[in-house]
Amino acid sequence: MNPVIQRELREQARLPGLFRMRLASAAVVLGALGWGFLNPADNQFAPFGGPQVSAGSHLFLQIHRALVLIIVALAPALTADAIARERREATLGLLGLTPLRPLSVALGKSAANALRALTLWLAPLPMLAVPMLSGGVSGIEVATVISFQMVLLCLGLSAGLAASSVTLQFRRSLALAYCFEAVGLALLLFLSGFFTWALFQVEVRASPVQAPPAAAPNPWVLTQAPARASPQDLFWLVNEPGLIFGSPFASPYTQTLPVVLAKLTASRAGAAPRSWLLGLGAFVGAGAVMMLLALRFVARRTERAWQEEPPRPEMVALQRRLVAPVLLGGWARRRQHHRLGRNPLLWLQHRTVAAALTRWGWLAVVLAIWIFSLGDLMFALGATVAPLVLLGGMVFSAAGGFRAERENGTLELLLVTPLRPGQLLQSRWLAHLREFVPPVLLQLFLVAYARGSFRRAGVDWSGWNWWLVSSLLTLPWIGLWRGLRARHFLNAVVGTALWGLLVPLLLTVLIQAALNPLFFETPLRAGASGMQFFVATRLDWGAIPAVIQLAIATAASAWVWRDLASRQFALGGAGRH
Amino acid sequence: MSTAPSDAAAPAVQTHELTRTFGAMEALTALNLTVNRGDLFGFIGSNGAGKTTTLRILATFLTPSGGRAEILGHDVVRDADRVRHLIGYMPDFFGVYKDMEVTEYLDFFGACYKIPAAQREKTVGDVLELVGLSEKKGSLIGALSRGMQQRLGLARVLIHDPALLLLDEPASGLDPRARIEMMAILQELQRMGKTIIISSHILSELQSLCNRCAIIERGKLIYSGPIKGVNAAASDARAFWVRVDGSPEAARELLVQRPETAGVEIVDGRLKVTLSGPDGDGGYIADTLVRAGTRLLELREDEIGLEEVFLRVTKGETQ
Repeated sequence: MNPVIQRELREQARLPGLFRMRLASAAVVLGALGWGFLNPADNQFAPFGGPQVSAGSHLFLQIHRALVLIIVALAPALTADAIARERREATLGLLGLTPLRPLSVALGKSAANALRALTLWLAPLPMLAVPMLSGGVSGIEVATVISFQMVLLCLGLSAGLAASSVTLQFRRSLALAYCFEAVGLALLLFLSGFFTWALFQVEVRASPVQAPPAAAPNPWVLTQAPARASPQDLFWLVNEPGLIFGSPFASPYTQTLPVVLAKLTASRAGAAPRSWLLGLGAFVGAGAVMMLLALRFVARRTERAWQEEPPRPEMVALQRRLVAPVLLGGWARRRQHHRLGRNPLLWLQHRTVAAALTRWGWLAVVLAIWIFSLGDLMFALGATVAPLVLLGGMVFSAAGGFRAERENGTLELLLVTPLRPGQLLQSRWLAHLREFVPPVLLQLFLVAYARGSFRRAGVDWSGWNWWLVSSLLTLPWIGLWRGLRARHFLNAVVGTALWGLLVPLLLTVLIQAALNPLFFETPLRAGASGMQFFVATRLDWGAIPAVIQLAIATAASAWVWRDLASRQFALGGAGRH
Repeated sequence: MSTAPSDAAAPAVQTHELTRTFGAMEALTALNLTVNRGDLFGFIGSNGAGKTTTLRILATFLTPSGGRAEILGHDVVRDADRVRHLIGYMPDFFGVYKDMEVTEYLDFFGACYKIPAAQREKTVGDVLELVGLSEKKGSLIGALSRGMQQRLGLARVLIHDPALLLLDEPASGLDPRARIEMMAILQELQRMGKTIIISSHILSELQSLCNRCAIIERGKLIYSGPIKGVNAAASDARAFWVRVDGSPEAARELLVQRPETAGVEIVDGRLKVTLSGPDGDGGYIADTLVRAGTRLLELREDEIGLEEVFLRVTKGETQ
């Protein structure tokens, strides 16, 4: 057996955090299942010829969504520090002295982490029994969804591994891993679509799904597909926004490539097993090719990194040139000096080009999501996905508050300076605000801009705005608390997400249910759709979790202050007792 | 640069029954230690003996489970803020931001110590010159060698001109030249009036560098005092090496008759004379031999090295 796998598995076996992550993964899926029970299946298109969605299929969709969310969020994070940590701790060079080849190291790392990820995926799997017993879930659907999730898992792990071989710092590696994952997913979908089209010249026939006249115009629904699918058509078809979070048969708006092919070539979904198999094979094949390419890339990078070298002079010169102000250099230096004197820790957080790029990057992400959603007239996407992405970013940023300082040992040095714990914490909070206030403001502005359209649709997204603003203010405290308590970053992330987002939401539902006995019953009795149910039960759902968040953050700030003042925190990296 | 005011009569460091436990493990047991002002104090012990724990308590990073510790008359728990201005703590790891420039790094810590901006630039230049890093002030820390990073750590410790330096293994991992240079810097700092507590495993260097030392094992103090007196602590009796012009056997016969002599042995033509007690005076040896008309070529006390002392007084037990 590959010794790298053995070592990784032994190390993982000693991590109590992995057990907690499995529990959290199961809890998320359980929550999704509960949400599915509370929100009946959306059959509004059935009278217009759309497929009738069964209860089982609907619940299966919820589980699929939750699993995809977990995979997309966690898979890159699991491997994003795999090679980088070995390099930081100078153990990669030691592996290089053994007969192990770089590819063995890359394979070992990916296999061990794949096993770890698989346990996270397996933990909530027993809950699949509920939709299966509810009926309406076909074998094709299960196979397609599992294949899709496995490809996504491999893609996420490969993205993390590739990123970790590029940079030494975990946060950079993590950001890069998510970028790789997004690009990889787009490429995967395009490649699988292209190869399927090129190899099999799929002929497009009229889709069985007829779009309802009242539905929002969507140029890419199957009814409007051209007679012969070009690669571009296929690319767009499989890149429907609903793809990632959609179940293939649960909604006419959600497709995966195998299902698209099945629908394109047959009169009814599932009636074309050959096309389905070909599509599935192309999809999985494209995923496998991408994974192999990623492993090859990692092996090459690992081979280069056997021997650590100081930064190249040209890179150092370029970095200096990028950092040096072009205009008013003297003024800028004085300003920096002034900032350093006023708040050295805030200066520390924002002194690098990477920090500035991160700030602007969040603005670009929000803008990109809104451009995409406005282009397709899907305001809900901008109003929900953009906050979700921002919330995810906040959780990672907050949980990693003192990570660098703990790893390089400077936290210990800072704590023997006259700086008080309150100053340390306040600086981190301000740094967090400086990073996320601009994108949150942009998000609020865009929501306000699109509000007219939402009102016409009878949907009010103010809950999301509340949620976003309160998270902006409170998550840093919760993240710092969890970040200092947890020895491993991923545990800190899970803890922050749990206490900062999931617990307030869960408590909100419980409080609302306790305050209003008809909370669940009224909309269910009225036969409301998922969206109507959401609107009916919304009340001030944004304000309630915000208050709960505030309470948790207040307690967290007191705890983290106490931990810092008494110097009690889990030391990582250089620091030790 | 000026040393912060404090109780002028108080020693640099004083601990009373200092105790620290980690769960069931007692890392320090009733440690009573005194370090005088201006001392270059060697703190010696095996791995896990409690050296780092003691230094971290003195650096206000750990709170004691029992007893108390004072730095220049200030309690490290009650008056921690004041103590932090008085000490410079260099842990046994670098603690650097590798993507920072050398001056940026020192400037940052200078700001953390609230040194005014106008003064920081000069202070950074001064400490860099002191540790011999002036030529590297524009370099990225990640590109510095281990020895240079160690010097940078020392420069960081000095940035706020502390009166007491707590240095945990400052020379570990350095090559011989870098070690010698580091020791020279420490001697220079002592001349400047700093009190330095240095924990190290390189005992031969501590012997030549320090004026006082303490030996600690399993959290308990075994010896504390002048480095010269460490021999007496380790030996039951003093011994002298004697070389005479003539027969060593004859000289031995003369010496064994004296009541002060516990024993005499001949080693490679020299006599090793062991006195009967630790407080014995070796002056009688020269007196006896010269009176008997023996020409004395060499008479010196048998000084065992600090390493030998350490091995004799400790049992190599760790926690």
